[in-house]
Amino acid sequence: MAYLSMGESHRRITDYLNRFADAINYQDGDSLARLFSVSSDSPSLLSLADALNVFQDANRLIKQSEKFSQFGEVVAPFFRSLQCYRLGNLVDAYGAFEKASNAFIQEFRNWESGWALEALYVIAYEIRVLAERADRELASNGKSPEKLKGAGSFLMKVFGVLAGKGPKRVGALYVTCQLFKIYFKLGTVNLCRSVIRSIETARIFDFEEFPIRDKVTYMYYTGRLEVLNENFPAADQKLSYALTHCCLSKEANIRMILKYLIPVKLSIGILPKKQLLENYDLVEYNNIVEALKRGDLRLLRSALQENEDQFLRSGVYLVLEKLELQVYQRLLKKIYIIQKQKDPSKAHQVKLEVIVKALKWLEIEMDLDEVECIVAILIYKNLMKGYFAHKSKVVVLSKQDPFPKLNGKPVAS
Amino acid sequence: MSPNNAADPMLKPTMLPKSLRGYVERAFGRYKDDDAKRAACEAYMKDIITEARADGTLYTRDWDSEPLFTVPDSLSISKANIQTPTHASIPNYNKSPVRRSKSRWEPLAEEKMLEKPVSASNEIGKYGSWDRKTFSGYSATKDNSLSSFRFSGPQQRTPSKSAQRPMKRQRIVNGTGLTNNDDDASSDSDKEQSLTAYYSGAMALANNPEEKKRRESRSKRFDRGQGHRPDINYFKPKNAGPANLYTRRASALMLSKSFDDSANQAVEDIDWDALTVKGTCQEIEKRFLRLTSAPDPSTVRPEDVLEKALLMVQNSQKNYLYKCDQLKSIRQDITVQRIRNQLTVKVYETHARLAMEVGDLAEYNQCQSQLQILYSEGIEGCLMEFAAYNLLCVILHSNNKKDLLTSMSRLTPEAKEDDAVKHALAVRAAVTSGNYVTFFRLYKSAPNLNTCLMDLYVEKMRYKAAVCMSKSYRPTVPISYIAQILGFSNAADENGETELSGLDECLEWLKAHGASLITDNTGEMQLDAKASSSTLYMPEPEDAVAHGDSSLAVNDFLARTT
Repeated sequence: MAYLSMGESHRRITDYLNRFADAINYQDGDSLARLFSVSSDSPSLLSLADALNVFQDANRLIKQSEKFSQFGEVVAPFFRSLQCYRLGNLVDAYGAFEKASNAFIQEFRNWESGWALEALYVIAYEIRVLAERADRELASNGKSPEKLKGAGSFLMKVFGVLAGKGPKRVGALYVTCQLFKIYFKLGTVNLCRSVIRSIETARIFDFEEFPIRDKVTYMYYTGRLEVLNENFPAADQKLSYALTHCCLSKEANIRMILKYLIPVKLSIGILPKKQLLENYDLVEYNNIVEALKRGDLRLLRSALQENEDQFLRSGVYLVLEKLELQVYQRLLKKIYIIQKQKDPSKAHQVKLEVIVKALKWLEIEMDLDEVECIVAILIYKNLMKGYFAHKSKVVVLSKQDPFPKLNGKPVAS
Repeated sequence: MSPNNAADPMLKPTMLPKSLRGYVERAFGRYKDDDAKRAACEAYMKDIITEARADGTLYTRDWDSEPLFTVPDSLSISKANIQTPTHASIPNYNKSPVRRSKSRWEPLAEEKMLEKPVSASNEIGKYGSWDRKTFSGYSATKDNSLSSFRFSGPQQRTPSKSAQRPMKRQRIVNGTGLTNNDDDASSDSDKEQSLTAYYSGAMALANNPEEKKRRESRSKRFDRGQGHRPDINYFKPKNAGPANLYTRRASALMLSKSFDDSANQAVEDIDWDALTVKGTCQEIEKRFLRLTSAPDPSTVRPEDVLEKALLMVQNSQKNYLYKCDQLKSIRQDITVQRIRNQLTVKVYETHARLAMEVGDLAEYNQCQSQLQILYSEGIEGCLMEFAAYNLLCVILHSNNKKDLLTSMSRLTPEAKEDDAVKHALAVRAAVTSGNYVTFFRLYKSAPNLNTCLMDLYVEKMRYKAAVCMSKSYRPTVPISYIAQILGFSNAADENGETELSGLDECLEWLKAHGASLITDNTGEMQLDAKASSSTLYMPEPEDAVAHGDSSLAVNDFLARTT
């Protein structure tokens, strides 16, 4: 670091303090927002951090003038946070930032209009990001990572501040989304429930009033929750909303939405075009789609195994696994079609041993009892219409539409 | 990273005046390589800072001249051990309003301690196993981090495992600081935690009257003001001064326990190993009596006796009640002596298996949580076996998909190769797809005690299968077939007798669930599929345990005393 004089440090700090005070006095939300974005590593904040570390006694400067000292409760801890951040001490940086944010919220409460919402958004974002990094630091030192959890509690408080009648309420969805991100990261997704309930049932909130960006994010996360609960129609609705309202240029976001929407669509019998998978680099689904088209159980299983870790982490593994039944259905339908070609009058009767043989060709060893079980399940779940005659070991298919399509409805559970 | 790299807000460098930071750095600098002392140092620093904050001298005192304190060798371990964040610290330390642990502990505990002149004080009392061994075990696994010293025994948690015992609040009854109410199995884990905390409390509280005096003189030392004794930076333990609080406390403790030779010993000469609770009891068989005060070492069995006791239980022919009781007693003796090694693991594994066999899920879960913690500390045990149990529990008990996904994604490649784990995963797949044929085949070929866990799902699976078959089969299904695929027959036996009993059992079951049965023209019993699809139902569960032996009903266990 180039030599930084006390004079220059003094100047930078005072400069920041002036901008801060001005932003508040002139209700300039955007400027104020920029003053808080610690993790952005913006040159101006980094140079301020250096100045603070050289000057060391910024508190004196803050107290020096009434113009600055009235925001001392916010700025002083913020300075500490910035200093710690610069020195690579993320745990302390988080702690101080939370203190500053707390003080900020107290002020924010008193401001009538929503002019400072942008700043609040930045603060909510920083709280989450700094907490994540603090936890990484704690974990790497063998300590228990608890900052992100604390960040969650803090943001719930912020949510409470926004959940009122005034113009500030449109900010609630952004904070909700930050909370979602925290809960998903921590794995405590059940905690999403309470904040979802507030958003969806409280009368003060009108979903359409929220900014579109927040609505898309909200639908993305609530859609993912529906996927976890295997509630496919609801998942389809929410993720599709997110997809259609997402700006096309945000390709990364679209990819994320598709990552969850595709398994949902597959579960209701809708297959994506190969081109789509390629455009958005979702090639892990290629073989699965192919397996569904061909009734190739072996391919499905190998595709699942190949990407097991990825699917488990994203949480779609169980959903994809359930596609097995549809693959069986397709296989049986193919057998039926082949039989029909050979002898239409007998086609509707499929011998169990034929199915066993077909599976053998796919290198899947299943004995009669196992296949009988699968057949029973397929009929039970309306993937096949007909019945199974145990004595003769024959599947007797209905003459009309023996393999009903899903038509946008999930397989009966 | 700053030397005082605690997550503690009080020691954040930026929150302290520069001179104090220097003081802190000097203090810690002396113990760069000794984690135990660093921990103790940290704790001691916190106190100093707290007091300074409280009397407002934090920013005004001349820390540059403030004398440093010494942390005596072994005492540092005990001190660190006493400072357990989730329990009340020794009340005297905790004067600061900032760090208030569960304050419920303090007033009550103090009073009561005064009444019972800690029976221990009359003994050559050995408190808490301040075993160096134990702690090096901690350091080794936790990379010399301070946190390993902050938590004692059962409180240590692995953040990753989802099957955690929740941290229960200490239930204080009668100020003894220990759970007083009788028995529910889940309170045993509380008991273990409270024991630990109690120890910490007991040690310090033993000297209450003296402590009060100490407290006063301690706060007075800050009144002595700044700029004092600028030329002396280190204090010998024998000198008066704030540094001596540790040593004075230690000697006070020693005095009150009236150890034979140690009354006038200097701190360094104290045989801290001798203070370890080393049980002397030689009885292999011992009933479980919940501790309500510090234990008499003559009632605590040392490790070698406990090994024998465990063996005795494993080979015993007596019933679960007896074994459970014995095991709880063994567990208590282990906890009290802070034994945390393969023996501990074996005890918990034994108890977990027994509990599972009889369907005592509460006890099983307790043991399972303890095991997860012990395994994560690197202690050897049947990790795979219990990983499989864990997986089966998640699959068969909770319907929580997120937990299931997490458990599955956490399996190491090595675990996935293990037979027991593979079996559990196969069961998972069968349950998810509703494949009853595979499920019951896996049931018959289950390794270890996987059957016991599967037992809890058998009823459900059979019912689902019956419903499925009623819908898909026409016109009928032979009962013999159903009996075979739904795990009713005893696969191993081929003789007619065994098969018949399986058939009978199946018939009974079907009838109990409303199945419509007919006999075909060859005399064979059949399930009338179409009729059954509307008559099948799931009967109300009675208070039966998996094996139908009501004498083993869980609630029953806990009520009995013999």
